[in-house]
Amino acid sequence: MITHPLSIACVAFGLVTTSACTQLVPVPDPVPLPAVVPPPPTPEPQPEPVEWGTPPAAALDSGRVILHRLNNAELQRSAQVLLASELEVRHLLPPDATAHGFTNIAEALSTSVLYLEGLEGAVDALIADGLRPPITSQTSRYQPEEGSWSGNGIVPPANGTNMGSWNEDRPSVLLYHGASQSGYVSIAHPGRYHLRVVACHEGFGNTCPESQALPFAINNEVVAEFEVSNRCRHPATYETTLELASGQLHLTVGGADTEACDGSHHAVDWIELEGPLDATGELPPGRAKLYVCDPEPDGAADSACARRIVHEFMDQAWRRPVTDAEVDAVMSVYDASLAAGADVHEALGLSVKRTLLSPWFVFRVEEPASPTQPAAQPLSAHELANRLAYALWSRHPDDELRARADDNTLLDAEVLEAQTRRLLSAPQAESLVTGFGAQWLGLNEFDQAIPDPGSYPDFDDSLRQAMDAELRDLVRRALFGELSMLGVLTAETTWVEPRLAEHYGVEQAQAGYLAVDTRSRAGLLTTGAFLTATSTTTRTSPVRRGHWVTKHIMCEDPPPPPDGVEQEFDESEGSATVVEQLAAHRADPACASCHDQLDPIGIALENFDGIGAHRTEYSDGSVIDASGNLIGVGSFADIAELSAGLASQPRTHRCMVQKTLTYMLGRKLRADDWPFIAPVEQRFVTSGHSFEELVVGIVQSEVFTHHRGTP
Amino acid sequence: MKRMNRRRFVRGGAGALLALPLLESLWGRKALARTPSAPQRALWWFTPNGQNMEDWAVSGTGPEYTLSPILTPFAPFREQMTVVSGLRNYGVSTPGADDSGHSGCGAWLHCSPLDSGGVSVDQQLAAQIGSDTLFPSLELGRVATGGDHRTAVSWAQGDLPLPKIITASALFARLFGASTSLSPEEALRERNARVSVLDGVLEDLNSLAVRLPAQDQIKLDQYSTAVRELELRIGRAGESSCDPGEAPSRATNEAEEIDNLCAVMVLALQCDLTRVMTFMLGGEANNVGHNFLGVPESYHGLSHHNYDPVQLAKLTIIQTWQCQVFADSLLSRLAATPDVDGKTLLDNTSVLYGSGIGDSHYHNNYDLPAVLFGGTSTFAHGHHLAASEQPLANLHLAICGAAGAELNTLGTAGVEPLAGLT
Repeated sequence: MITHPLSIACVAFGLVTTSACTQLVPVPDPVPLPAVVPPPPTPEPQPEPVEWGTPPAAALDSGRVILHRLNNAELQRSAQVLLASELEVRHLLPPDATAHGFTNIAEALSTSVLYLEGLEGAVDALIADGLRPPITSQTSRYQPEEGSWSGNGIVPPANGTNMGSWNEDRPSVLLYHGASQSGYVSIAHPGRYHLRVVACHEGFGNTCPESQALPFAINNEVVAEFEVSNRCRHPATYETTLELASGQLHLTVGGADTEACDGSHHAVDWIELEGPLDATGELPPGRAKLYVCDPEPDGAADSACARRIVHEFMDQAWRRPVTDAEVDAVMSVYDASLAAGADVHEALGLSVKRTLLSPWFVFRVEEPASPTQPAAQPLSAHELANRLAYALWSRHPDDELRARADDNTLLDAEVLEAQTRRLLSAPQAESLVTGFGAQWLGLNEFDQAIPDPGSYPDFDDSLRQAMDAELRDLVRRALFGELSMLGVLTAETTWVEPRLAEHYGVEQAQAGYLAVDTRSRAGLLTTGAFLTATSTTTRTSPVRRGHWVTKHIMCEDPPPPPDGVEQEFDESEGSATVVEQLAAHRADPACASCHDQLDPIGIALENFDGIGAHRTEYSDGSVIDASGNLIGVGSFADIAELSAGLASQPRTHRCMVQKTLTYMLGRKLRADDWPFIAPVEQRFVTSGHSFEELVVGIVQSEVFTHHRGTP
Repeated sequence: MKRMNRRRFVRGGAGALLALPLLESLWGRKALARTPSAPQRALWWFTPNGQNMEDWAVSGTGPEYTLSPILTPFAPFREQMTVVSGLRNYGVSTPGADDSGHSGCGAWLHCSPLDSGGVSVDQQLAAQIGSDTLFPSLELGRVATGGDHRTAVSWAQGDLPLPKIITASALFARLFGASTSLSPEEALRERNARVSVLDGVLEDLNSLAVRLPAQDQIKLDQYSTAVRELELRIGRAGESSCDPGEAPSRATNEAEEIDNLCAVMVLALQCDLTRVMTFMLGGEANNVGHNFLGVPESYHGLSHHNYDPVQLAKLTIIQTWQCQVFADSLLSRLAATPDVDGKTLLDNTSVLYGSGIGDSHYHNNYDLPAVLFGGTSTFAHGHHLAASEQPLANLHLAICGAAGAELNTLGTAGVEPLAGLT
């Protein structure tokens, strides 16, 4: 037990085991055995890894994905598509847990009452938006003399005989000397509206003009002015067209300058707003999609149609054909709602809610034909379609994929491959950039990094966004074929917006690719996002950077140092101190087992400060030496050489397979996944490290197409 | 039921809260009749990254002890608190063996090894006393629950870390709902509709459960539990006539957000919406800076201070601020809010302030920082209790006892309420 201060970073206590890090040796190529064993899953006992490349067919275990709750991104996207809404509702749900680098890992996706409350709110909001009633033009009339209006207008007595008001007995308000009346009007939909007013003007004596302008203001800004000339014996209607925003608008009538003419006034009878004028009365997209027939023809509920609507919605939302009994169950909510006095649309909305809160929507149910049989069993065509769609699009299958599931042709390898390529090349595959690529490469960590404004006054939101865009672009190119996946490490160009160019110290007036620069040769490791995410709030952390690369790029996770030896270095003193401290600490064999791997990477990145600005020396003037020597890579002069070295490592290639497979399955990998990985990795390497070929290889592997029961 | 006038939501500590009417008037007569004596409650307040023990530890034991620099903000509450030193979390720490550092956070309240299915003490307490309130428990803090043991202290069955509410506005909305303009009849119809939907969802869950392998049933059980809890709550909605006033305004800095949260937490206790709460000031091993205190460095980085006096001084600044914000925002309010029995909310709430790690530098899980406040019907305060090598779990058991629960064991070593507190 340690009870005294430590003088140097790492001390062996006789408890540091080197087992985890002694595995950090280069993988020989070709590989007879996996040198890196993934962390054993809990709590199942682990069989020994099967010999690489020669799996006996009988021993294959395609594993199970434990019942998979849709993560928040998947849930939102699926519900948005089903209800034809673009409403963002993710913020209403508690954030998903991250496990094994991703937020779509089944084991970590739990539910709780807090989650359910959020889910209910999200579904309610999407239904309200997606199934909103059609917009029709409405006319609203306002009486400015009523109590809900206020101002300094005068409301004449009801007999209407005095003060130059209407001859008839009609309620009105009189506006003298620039008086005005204001009230709130509620506009449900933005658009063009007719504004109408019935008004008149009285001017007494020769000094008064024949006509007088009557202004209208919305939120205190004049939007219309009518030149009112008629006497009140002959009231007239004035009309114009306005563009209105939605919401509660403050409408003011009057307020004209009527000086020099005592007794001149307007009288206003009523005001009308009619619109929106461009409303077509057509069903909004959500209803148009859902209402496959008219559930209320001639104003009466048509229950056969309602049932058709509910049936087809369930079929989509539950991602499989549903049974009559299941439809009956949901229809009982519809019937009860009608009986309780709701209208047809409300009752249908409630049925939609019932469908979306069901476990059949919230979870990706995979039901083994023999639930207690541990042998591999093929997924059903629908289950396979769901895996594929959620892996590549983060949503349920589209119509074409669903059709291939309905007719079972998806179980044919060629059809499966064609569908996979189709999905990958479609715009919806963009969800891979955020769901897979950005999480893999640490954009989430970057989002949470908060550089200290004192240390980095240059860091602001626009810089953060530019860094985000740079990394996303890199990911996009690597996933969609412009680069190989290794291009993540070796891209020769990088996407730079002007704000980022300024930060990088290069001239670039417009967003574009930066081609010849220190950082244009080394991909990810020289992006601002990576360099910021792996720094502390006030400075760089070579150990953290080295650890990040080892963990995310090589899938090797050195254990944390033993208690009391986790250290931070004071890098403000200059490179000598950093390098010396790190070197001193590696002199201890217990520390060296891990840090020989971590430190050289971190030191190579010392040319970039805590927010990724390039530097050649520390603040005290000492020159930074970024060269080094890394096990497996050999010696390197700078970060570009190191990145190229990392990209050539078989363990880096395998890590890419591991990461992609983990994400596509949504589960942690197990030792008995290795036999499936070997051929996939082979295909990946042979294809020149193409992400598309990697995905096709995974999709066609039994680890993706099969599952099993649990005894 | 008659509703009280709407008041502006108050921020700014105890003084402002005094303007609130007495608790009796917050209650309808029905509720008062059902609750003749004041409810007893429990609240656990977690602070990350341990403490600078040189400035945390008090000197002397018994009533004559001297407060330490970090604990100075607690001076006004000296007679309502007990400093407890020397506790060990036996779930993750064995004398003479290597400690588990950051595990002290996840295991703080269940005192079991990680991933061993330990249910945290607040959840066990809620299972006993939570059914009397709309919310059996509330999990709160300033860090969202993530995927590991560094961001959760409250754990349900099945190693399930409970998600947290981390902003005052979200908490307010959850407790008091969005402002509703529904008539009583409309509100009833809406409640019935929600329940009919949830009933149907439960039917689906039941029919699905028998078709899936056992592993999946754990997941379905979690969801079923959530559905039933929500149904129960919907059934009870409308029972309370407690009017909280307006929602808190947007905070402009961290201290304000914490202050807002504490104000809503006190409202929740005042309205008897819950009797069990946990609050995590931050995640273990978090790297946030405290720029507003002039300490921009990564907090976790600083915490491994290597006994460097500069780093230690910075830690003391952060950790003193943590005590200050807790005292100003929570303790002062609790102490200034009258309860139905004429005492204060603090008298009827046991509050534990502590960390899952002892000495920041070593990240060990013994000699854990702990200060117990309130619960004065049970606890005799005003002293420093040296409880060397006693299980932390026993302190939790003592708190459960004060809250009126019968919990006999907790975690690896909790077997009896900690002696010396009553």
